[in-house]
Amino acid sequence: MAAFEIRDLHKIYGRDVHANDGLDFAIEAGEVFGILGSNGAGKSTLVQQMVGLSVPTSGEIRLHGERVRAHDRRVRQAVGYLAQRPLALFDLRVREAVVATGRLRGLGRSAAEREAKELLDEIGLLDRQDRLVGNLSGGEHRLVGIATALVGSPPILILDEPTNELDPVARRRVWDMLMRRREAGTTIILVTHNVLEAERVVGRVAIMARGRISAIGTPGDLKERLNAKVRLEIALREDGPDVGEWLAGARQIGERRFSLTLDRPRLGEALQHLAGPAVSAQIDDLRIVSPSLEDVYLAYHDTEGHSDAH
Amino acid sequence: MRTDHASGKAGAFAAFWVLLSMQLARARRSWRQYIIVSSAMPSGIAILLRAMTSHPSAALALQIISGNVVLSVTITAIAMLAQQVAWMRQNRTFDYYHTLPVANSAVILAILVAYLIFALPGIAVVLTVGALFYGVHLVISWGLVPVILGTGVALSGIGALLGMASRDGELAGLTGNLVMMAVLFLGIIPASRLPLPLVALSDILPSTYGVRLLLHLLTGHATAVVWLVDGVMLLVFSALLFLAVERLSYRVD
Repeated sequence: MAAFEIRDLHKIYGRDVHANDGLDFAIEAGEVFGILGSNGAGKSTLVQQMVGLSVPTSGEIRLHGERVRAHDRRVRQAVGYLAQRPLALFDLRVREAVVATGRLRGLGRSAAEREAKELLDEIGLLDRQDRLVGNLSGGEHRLVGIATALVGSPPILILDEPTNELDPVARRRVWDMLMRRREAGTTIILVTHNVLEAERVVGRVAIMARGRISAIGTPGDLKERLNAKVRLEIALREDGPDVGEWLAGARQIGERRFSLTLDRPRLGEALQHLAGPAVSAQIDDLRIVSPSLEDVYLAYHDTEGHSDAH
Repeated sequence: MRTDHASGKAGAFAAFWVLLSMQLARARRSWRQYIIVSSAMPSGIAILLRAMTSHPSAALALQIISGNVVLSVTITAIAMLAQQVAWMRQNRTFDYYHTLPVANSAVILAILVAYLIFALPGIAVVLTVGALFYGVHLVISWGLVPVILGTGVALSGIGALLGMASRDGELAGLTGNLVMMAVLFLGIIPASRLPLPLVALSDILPSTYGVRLLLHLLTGHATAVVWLVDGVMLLVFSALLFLAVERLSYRVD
């Protein structure tokens, strides 16, 4: 049975702001499901309805086959939720915040203490356990939020931008933690726009744009769909080269670096043009890249014309 | 890595205790503020009124002391709590509690009781200052506990409602101060000296019943009738305000 089923879900704010516009998909128990999308795509609105903090305008969400209601007790028992906003337990010590959350999830005092210690060790905050949450850095604050979502080992985790503000070491540690939970059978729903990191852990992804699902599937499936395309990454020696029409549809990805997605049949023609003496003199580096999940995301993130895949 | 799951539900008492501890942790940063704010103004008013009245009667002295005890509760329970709740709403702090398997009533009760506890040092200071400056004997009895608890929960309920209805902390602070002024005047000035419309207004403030009960308790003359009338009114106000806050905090968009 699916952990969550989302059926024809609409969420409208005010008169005509369609934050979610006819969402229809399911998340299987035990899978790691990524919800990708740019800011304002409707990801957080969706998960807030999944955890019962907000109610759909129409349509429904089901947890293990039963409809989710506002402040649903079953959801609160089954789901560990990390909100996008920082955890507002500023006056508690780090250890107290995790222990208190564990106790509110039904752990006894000693079990909560033990589990908090293990989690803080795993997440790299054991040496900060006696500091007030309000005195932590933004990244450390985020880590405490993750520890509170995980304490009590809820069978489902919904994590909204878990690696925001984290340094690379902490990010790696968090993804490793999540992979261990995945192996233990936890259903994990990740909301993120960090596509490169998400690709390491997700089994399936839904790409959201303007309140809708643009694409859904395994990263492999979605990349397969882009196989008719190929991407060139071009680094230029200096400004103002005459590389002709080829850079007209390119997306700038860095200083003098451009990304150009083409239909495969046009690759030869493009390379021939770029290899010409006038143009090649301006090119510092040229790479032909197979589609990554990031390419899929960029291709689908806005199906109404902002993508360089169209 | 542990894989055993929590039971998914904490016992009611254990949950309330954890929630109360979480709220009381606020005192780590703000205990000086709570003590100073809840004791300075009521004590100052009590001293000021003593300086302005020559040989006040025991009845007037007790009215002033009782009124200022309730004012002390009002400052933390209304003015400070309204701002705190407005801040909690703005920061979506309630979302944290509303995604855990814990009763919302326990969350709200913990917040209200915590702010009542923050008022206790101020109450003790006002009683001490009152006894010293007015030279009256105050009867300290166990009856004070339910009266202060009831008054505190009812006034905290008003503070929490103001916080939830305000769009930000500034507006909550402003409205909280206005309500505090009403409690100050209607609590200290005896009803016999108030114009009729203000008497009617005082009847819909729970602080009025708290002041009356305190007045009778501190003189050692709290009769069964007093308990039945003022005590029941205080209980009704506490219950209604608590339920209103509980409902309002559980609102979803």
